Amino acid sequence: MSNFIDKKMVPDSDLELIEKFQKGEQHAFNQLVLKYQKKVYDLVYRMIRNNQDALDLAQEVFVKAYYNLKDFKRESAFYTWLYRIALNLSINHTRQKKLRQMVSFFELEDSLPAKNNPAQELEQNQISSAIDQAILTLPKKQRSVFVLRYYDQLPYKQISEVLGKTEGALKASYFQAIKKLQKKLKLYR
Amino acid sequence: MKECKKYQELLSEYLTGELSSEFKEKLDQHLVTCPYCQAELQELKATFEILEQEKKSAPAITELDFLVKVRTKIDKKQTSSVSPVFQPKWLGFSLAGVLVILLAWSLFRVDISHLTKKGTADTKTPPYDYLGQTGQNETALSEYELSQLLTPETEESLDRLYLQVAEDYYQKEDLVTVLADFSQSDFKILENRIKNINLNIK
Repeated sequence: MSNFIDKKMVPDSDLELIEKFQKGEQHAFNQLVLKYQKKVYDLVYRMIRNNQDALDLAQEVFVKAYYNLKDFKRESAFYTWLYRIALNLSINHTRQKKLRQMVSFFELEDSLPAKNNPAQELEQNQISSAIDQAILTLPKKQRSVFVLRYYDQLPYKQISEVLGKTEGALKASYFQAIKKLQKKLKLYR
Repeated sequence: MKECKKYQELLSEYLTGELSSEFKEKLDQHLVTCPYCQAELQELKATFEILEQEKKSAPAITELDFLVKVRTKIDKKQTSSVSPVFQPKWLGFSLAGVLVILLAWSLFRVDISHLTKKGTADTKTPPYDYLGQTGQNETALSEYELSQLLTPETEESLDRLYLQVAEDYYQKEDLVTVLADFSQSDFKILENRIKNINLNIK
């Protein structure tokens, strides 16, 4: 029992867990899942704006990680690598979904009722829906930067490690993303 | 105008207070003289306010359920794969297994010491309440079954489970971490034993 407590007080680092997993210790992978599942789920949810799909997709992120962890080179932090998988899967998912649903923000704009709708709850749902659509219609790079920066509040340096872009390019992308959201959400201001 | 664009790229960091004092000072000076950038700042503020309304946290997930589903997907993939890179034999961590373990924990929490005393179980009073069979000798676990179920190593595992759950789940509400820290052999022993108990209960 004392060993157990000691182990819990000083949790293994990601690299230690990866090393254990690469040696065949399956529970080490479980610990990585438990440690990052919420962050990955939140990230995927912010990217694709759908709860059920986000759950499935976040699970897929870890399945993919499981099969690719043997090739993990330790050139980047584990979470950087994991976030990259999550973003790629999210972008592919949105692309597929867009093809199916032909999401068009302009159609949404046309269908918006008058701003002075008395039903406040309805208006709130419309705002949420408009934000969803506005974010979904951002180009993939801008959406990734926006989600990592605005929701995850990652510093540009870390976003740069995840996306492999310079900090200057990321700042410009974030700015463009904000400008587009600003334009698309102007009806709600 | 070109200068304005350069300043506008800094506006979001300005609003979140992340701008270095040097840039903040320059931007402040620019804002005083540039109504266009002032308007941009107000628009940006309004946009952030809208986004903030919706910036609720993503819907909650059940952590243990999430892990179980990840593991199930991995298992499925492995069984359909011809030559997996690893040959992982995961610890049989199915949802049913987890439920059985939780059930067992709740059972043993009722009176683990009672069950471990072979042949001394009082069948007229609890701990058998949880079976809905209080006082019914014919449906209680037999002494033989108890002795089979509760080997020293099972007792030790259950004891650990009980202590860990009590310590971690109630204090930190983090049962999943407790379960994840169980070694593969711990889990197998525990799960097999508990499955047997569950069968006996049925």
